[in-house]
Amino acid sequence: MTRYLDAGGRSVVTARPLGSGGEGTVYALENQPGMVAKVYSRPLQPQDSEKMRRVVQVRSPRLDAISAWPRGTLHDPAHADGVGSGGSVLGVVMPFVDFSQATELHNLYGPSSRRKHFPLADWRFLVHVARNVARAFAELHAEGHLMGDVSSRNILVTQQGTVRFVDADSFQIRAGEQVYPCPVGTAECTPPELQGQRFGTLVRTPNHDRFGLALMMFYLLFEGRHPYAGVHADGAVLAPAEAIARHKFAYSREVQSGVRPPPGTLTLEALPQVLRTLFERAFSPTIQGRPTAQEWETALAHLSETLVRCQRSPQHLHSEEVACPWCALFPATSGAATAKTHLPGSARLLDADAEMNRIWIGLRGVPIPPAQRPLTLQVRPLPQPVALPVMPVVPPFVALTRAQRLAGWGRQLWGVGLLVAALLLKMEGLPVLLSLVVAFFGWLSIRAGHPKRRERDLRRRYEREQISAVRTHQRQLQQMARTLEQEVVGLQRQLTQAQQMYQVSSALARYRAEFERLERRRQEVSRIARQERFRIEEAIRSHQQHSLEVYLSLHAVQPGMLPGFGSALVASLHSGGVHTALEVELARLRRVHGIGPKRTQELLWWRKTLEQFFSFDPSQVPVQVIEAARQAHQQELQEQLRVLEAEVPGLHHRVQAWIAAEQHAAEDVLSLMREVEQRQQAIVLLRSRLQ
Amino acid sequence: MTDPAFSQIPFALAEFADNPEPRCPVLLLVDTSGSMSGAAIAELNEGLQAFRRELGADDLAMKRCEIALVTFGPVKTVSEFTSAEHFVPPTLQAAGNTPMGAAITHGLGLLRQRKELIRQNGIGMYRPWVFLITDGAPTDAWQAAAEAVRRGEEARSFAFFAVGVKGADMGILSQLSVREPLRLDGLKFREMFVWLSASLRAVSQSTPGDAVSLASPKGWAEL
Repeated sequence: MTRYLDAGGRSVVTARPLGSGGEGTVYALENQPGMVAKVYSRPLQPQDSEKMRRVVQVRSPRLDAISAWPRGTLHDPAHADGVGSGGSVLGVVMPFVDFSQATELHNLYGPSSRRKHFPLADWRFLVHVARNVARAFAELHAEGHLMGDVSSRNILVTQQGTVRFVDADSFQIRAGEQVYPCPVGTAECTPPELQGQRFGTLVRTPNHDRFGLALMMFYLLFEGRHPYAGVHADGAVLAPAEAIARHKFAYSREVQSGVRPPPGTLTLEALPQVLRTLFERAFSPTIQGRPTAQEWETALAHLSETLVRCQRSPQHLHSEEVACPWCALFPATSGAATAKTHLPGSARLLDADAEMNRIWIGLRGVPIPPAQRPLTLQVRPLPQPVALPVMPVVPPFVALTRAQRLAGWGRQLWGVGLLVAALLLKMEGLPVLLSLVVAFFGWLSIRAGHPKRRERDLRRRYEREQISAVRTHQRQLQQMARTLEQEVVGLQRQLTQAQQMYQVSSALARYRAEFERLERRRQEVSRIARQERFRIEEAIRSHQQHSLEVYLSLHAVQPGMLPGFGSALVASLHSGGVHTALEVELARLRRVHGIGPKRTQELLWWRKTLEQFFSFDPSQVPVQVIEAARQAHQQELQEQLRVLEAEVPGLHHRVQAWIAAEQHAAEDVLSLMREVEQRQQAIVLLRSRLQ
Repeated sequence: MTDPAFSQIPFALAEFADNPEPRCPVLLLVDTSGSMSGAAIAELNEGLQAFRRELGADDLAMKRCEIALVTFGPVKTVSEFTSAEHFVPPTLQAAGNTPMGAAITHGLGLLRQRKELIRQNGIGMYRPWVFLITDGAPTDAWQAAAEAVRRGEEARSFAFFAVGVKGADMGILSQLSVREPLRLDGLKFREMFVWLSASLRAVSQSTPGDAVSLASPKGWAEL
C-alpha cells in the first residue's frame, strides 16, 4: 500500500502487486477497478518524465480504443510542488488488461500455442486478426504516433480476434511539433536500415513502423514463420536480425537472395496477387515505400471476403484466386478425401487443382530471367581512327650566306655608282629625264641590295607561309571534328531507339506478364473445374425437355378432344401439320385455315394444361445421360489441362528466346554506345590538336 | 529417468511447423562424478527444476530455448535437444569419474547435429550456449576438447561458459574455456540457473538501444 499523487494532486493508492517486469511493478489500485499502476523501479529521468506527461496529454478516444493508453502520471507525495511540471514521474496509471482474456500475438500465430490458447481458430481467424492489427496501426499512425518497438509481445489478441496495444508508454509520441522517441526495439522486428543502431534518441519514421507491421502480417498469415528465416544455399544459419540486416527475405519471387522458404510452409503463391505484391514491397531491399496499414487492411478485407473452403478438405481455407495451397503443402493427405457429390456415381474424377499444382511446380521450375542491368561500357574504347591531315611543309627560313651578303653590298655600291653617274650626266647637260632614269635605277639598286632588308623580306615571307599552312591544317581538323559531331548526333538518335528497344525487350517483364496470363488461365480452368455440376444439371434439364416433348406427342389432336372440335376442324388441323399437342404452337396454328383466335387460344390452353400435368422424376434420367455430360466436361477439362501442361516447355522456350532477344538488344545498345564513345574521344583528340 | 535409448524421436518437419520460432540451443554439460554426491547433487537437481520453472514463466522464451543435458561420469545423453516446453528436469545421481573431455566432444557433436537440423528446416537460430558445470579435474585427455571449444568460439558457433564448483581445477577450466571460468559461490545452483534463464529470456525481449549486456553473475559466482 503506497500513496502517490496524480498530476492533479489527488491521492492514488496502490493495492496488491499483479506482476513485475524489467521496467517496474504493476499494482492494482484502491477504489479504481479496471485501472492499474505501473511503478517504475527507478524514478524517471527529467526527459522521460516530460515524455510521460505528454503521453498522457495526447491520449484520445481513438487511442483508448486500440490500446491501454496511460491515463495519468504518479508522483511522490513528499514533493507535492513538483507534481504539475518538472517533478519526477514515478509511475503511470493505465487500464487493466486482463491476461486471461487477451494474450500476446505469438500465442495465436504459433501452431503449438494456438492449440492451447485458441483451439477453434482457423486461417479465417488469422486473416481476421491480421486485419484488426492493420486497422489498429492505421489508427495509431493517423494520430501521428508510432509503436517503435513493434513486436508480437506488444500486441494482445482476444478470443474475439480484436487486438489491443500494450506498453504504450514506450511508443514514439508526437505532441505538436515535438517528437518523443521510443528508446527500445526488438531485433527480429527491426527494419534492415535500423539494425545495429542505438534506439535511445533515434526518431523513427512511419516507414520503419511499417516494416514491423508487415512482419506481424507475415507471422499471422504464415503461422508464425519469420519472413527472413529460410534455407540458405551457402549453408548459413542466421539469427533473424542478421538475416534482416543482409536482406535475406526468403520468400521473394523478385529478388534472388540465395535463400528459399523453409520446407513445409506456405509460400507467397498461397496468397492473392495483391498481398504478394505488398509483401514484396515490405521486405524489398529498396527499403522505401513499404505498404501502409490502410493498404494491408484493404488487401486483407478482400482476402477475407474471397476465402473459400477446399473441396477436398473442409479444414483448408484459401483465397479463391489460388488453388488450395494446403493440399499442395501436405500432398500425402490431399488424396485421402476425394470429392463427394450427391450426383450418381462416376468414374475417376480429374483433380484439376492437384493437376494444376503439379503443372505450376513445373512452371516455377523455369529459371526466372535476371533483371535488366543499366548498360554501361565496361572497357573504354579507343578513339575512332581518323586520318589526321598532314601540315604542309614550309621551307625553313635560311639566313643569307656570305656570298649573298657580299653581292648585296656590291649592289649597293653599284647603286651609289649609278647615282653619281646620274649627277654627272646632269652636270654634262644631258636631258634631265635620262639622269632621272639612271638615278631611279641607282636608288632601286641601293634599296634592294641592303642585306638586312633582304633578310627581313625573306623572314616575312616565311612567316606568312607558315601561318597559312597552320590555318589550312586547322580548317581541315575542324572540318573533321564537325563531321564526327554530326555522326555522333545521328548515332545518338539510333542509341535512344536501341535503348527503348532494350527496355521493351526486358525478359523479366515479359516473364512476369506471361505469368500473369498463366495465373488468369489457371483461374479460368479452376472455374471450369467447378462447373461440372452445372453441366450435369443442364444435361438433366435437356433430358427433361425431351421427356416433355415425348409426353406431348402422345396426346393426339382428334375429334372431341375439346368441346366444339369436330372432324372438319381436326382435318384442317391435320392438314396444317398439327397432329399432337407437341405441334400446338402459335406460329403453326396461324397457318391453319379456318381456325379463329378463339380456337387457337383454346388449343394453346389445352397444351398448357397438359404441360402442367407433366411430372418429371430426375431419378428416371438414365445414368448414361449424366455420365455423358460428365465425360464431356472431363474431356474439356482434360483438354484445358493439356494445353496448360504444354505451357511448361513453352515457357521454357519463350524465356530462352526472350533472354536471347534481350541480349541482342543489349548488344545493339552497347555497340552504339561504343561507336559514340569512339567518336567523342576522337573529337576530343582533334580539339586538343586545335589548341 | 527412463532409459533414453527408447525415448521418442520427434519428426523434425512437424516439430518445426508446429513451433517455427527461431531457436536458441542450450547445452548443459553437468559433472555427476562421485565427488558431487550428497548436498551438491541435490542442489543441482533443485537448480534444474528452478531453471525449468523460470523459463516457463515466459511463453516466448519457452518456444525459443531448447535444452540438451549431457552428464559425465560416464558420459550420457540424459536429454537430447528438446524445446523448453517439453523439457522435464531429471533427478541426477552422482557416481563415477570425470571424463570431461569426452563429455565436451560428445556434447558439441549433439549441438552440431541439432544445428544442421535447424538449418535444413530453415528456421533462424540464435548463438547456442554451452554451459559446463564441474567440481573436479578431467580424468581423460581434454586437450582436443579445448581445441574444439576454441575453434567454436572463434567461429562464433557457440558461447562456452565453464562453472567450477568447490574443488574444481580452475587452472584447467581456464585453459578449456576462452572466457574466464566462473567459480560457484557455495552451492548456489538455484541462483545460477535463475540467472541463466533470465539471460536466455533476454533473447526474446525488447532491447534498449543503449548498453545491452548480460546481467552480472554476482549473486551466485565468486567474483
